[in-house]
Amino acid sequence: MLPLSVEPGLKVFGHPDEKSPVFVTANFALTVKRVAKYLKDLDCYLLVAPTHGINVWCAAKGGNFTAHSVISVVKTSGIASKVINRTLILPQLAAPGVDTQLVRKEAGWHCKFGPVYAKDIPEYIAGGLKKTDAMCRVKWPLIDRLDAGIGVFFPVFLLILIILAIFLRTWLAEFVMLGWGLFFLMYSFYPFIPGRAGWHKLLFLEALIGVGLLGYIFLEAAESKYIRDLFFMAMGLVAVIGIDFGGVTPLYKSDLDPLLDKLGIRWIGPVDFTGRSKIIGGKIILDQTKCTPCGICYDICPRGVYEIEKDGHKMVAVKYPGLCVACEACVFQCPKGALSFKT
Amino acid sequence: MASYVFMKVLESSAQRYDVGINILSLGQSNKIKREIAGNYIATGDKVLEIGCGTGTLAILCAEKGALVTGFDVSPHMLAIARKKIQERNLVDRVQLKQMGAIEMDKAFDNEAFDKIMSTLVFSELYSDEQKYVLGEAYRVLKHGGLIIIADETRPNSLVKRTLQLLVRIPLMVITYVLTQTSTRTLKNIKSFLTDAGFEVIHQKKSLLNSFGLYVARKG
Repeated sequence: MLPLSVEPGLKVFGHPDEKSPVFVTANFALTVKRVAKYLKDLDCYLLVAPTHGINVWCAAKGGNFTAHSVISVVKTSGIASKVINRTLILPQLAAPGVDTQLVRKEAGWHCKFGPVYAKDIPEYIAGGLKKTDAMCRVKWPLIDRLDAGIGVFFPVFLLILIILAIFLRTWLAEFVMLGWGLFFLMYSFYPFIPGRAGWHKLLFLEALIGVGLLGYIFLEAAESKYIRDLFFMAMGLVAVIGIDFGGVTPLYKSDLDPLLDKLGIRWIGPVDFTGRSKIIGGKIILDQTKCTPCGICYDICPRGVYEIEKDGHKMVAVKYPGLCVACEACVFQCPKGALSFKT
Repeated sequence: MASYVFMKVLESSAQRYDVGINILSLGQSNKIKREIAGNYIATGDKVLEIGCGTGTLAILCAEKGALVTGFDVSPHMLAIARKKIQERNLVDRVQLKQMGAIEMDKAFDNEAFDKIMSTLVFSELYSDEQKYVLGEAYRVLKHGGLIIIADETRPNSLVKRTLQLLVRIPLMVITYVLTQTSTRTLKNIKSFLTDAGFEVIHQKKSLLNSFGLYVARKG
């Protein structure tokens, strides 16, 4: 309904032949636009799968980018008559949603997962359809941080602005300037703030402002209440802006939900947090007796949780479990059922 | 967390689908389902429902004595359908399958059904899918069998279209906020039916032409 989707189907780039690669993407308008930008100088096919106009990761995790979407576009687009290979290259972030074995059974095509970002596709093709480790990882560059941050902070900002406008009009200008100033600072320097994620970083910032305040009280002879209040305001704002640092990122799990759970807040309105807290506290379990090891988990993990160890014999290990964001792509894709998510 | 709240609300939206769709269609959805079951389904009919959702129409047909096979792509919708069917003791009359419409080629035999019905599904499919599904429907339907499609349609006249939008936009917002359900409108279905080999024998549009019922026969 919303004007964010494009008609699914086959798009042709350059002058592909029967051996050209076939890529698949979601039918969110911006996604297609971006993928097309990086494919325009290549010779390949792009199948735009019906995902209700939702982007790849959200659609895959939310049940809108599934094997059915892929089967549908494969069968209706007539791609089978254009190429002799039977391999679809899916975006890596589609891994939590697309049952590749069902695609194989119903449509007869083999699926492999390409790079996370469309911008890596030219290099991926040049490298003989091989992914580098960097191509497997989700990144969170400045522009994306500001984008996500504004989305989360802006409604809160407006709410506080309205409250201040009614009750505390004298602080409006300070609030606006300090609020956005801190917002840009915090999100710009996010990777450099010490602390693992979420409220760990928050605590560091609060302590920093606290030290600043103490310093000010000790050093300044003519102490002003106005400056002190500004310090307190900054502390409050930092808390508001950063309280769910982890929750707005694609790279960390939200720390706020388990915190709420610990405080005894189990639900807000219709939303129950308990299931969510379990996911956050959960971890990936690898059953070595079932592992073959094919390495698909290593190939599709957006966080680099796995490592393939080659000393003696090849085996897969859950090397960095702390990085896991519980997308469960590996659990879903493991052909032997060797992985499970223990909550 | 904000995104999580939204996600959680959307996840449970299947439970509110029935309510949502009825608000959005101003009661037309249930009315047209009763009409389909009442006018076109007979005792003993083997019926296929494409996109059975929460099972409302399948249940109405089963209660009339038909043997219904329904499939839907959403496991959440099917879970609700299963519950509703169990509550009404119709488990042996309604068979459910989780699959997409484009997987019909392997799932059903030629000329296996007397009637095929589908409400508010075709508008969710893009045009290539609609053509494909109609081709498959033609294959699995018996000679002389009927296909009954009901969906949101787009009025032809500009005045009616404007009127429809005026009614629809606020309704859409309310329905979406309450139930995260929405629909799209269907275009060109009549010519697609004819192209697939069907003969359109009955066509009805509701007030403002916003809801359409198409009945076609396999000759």
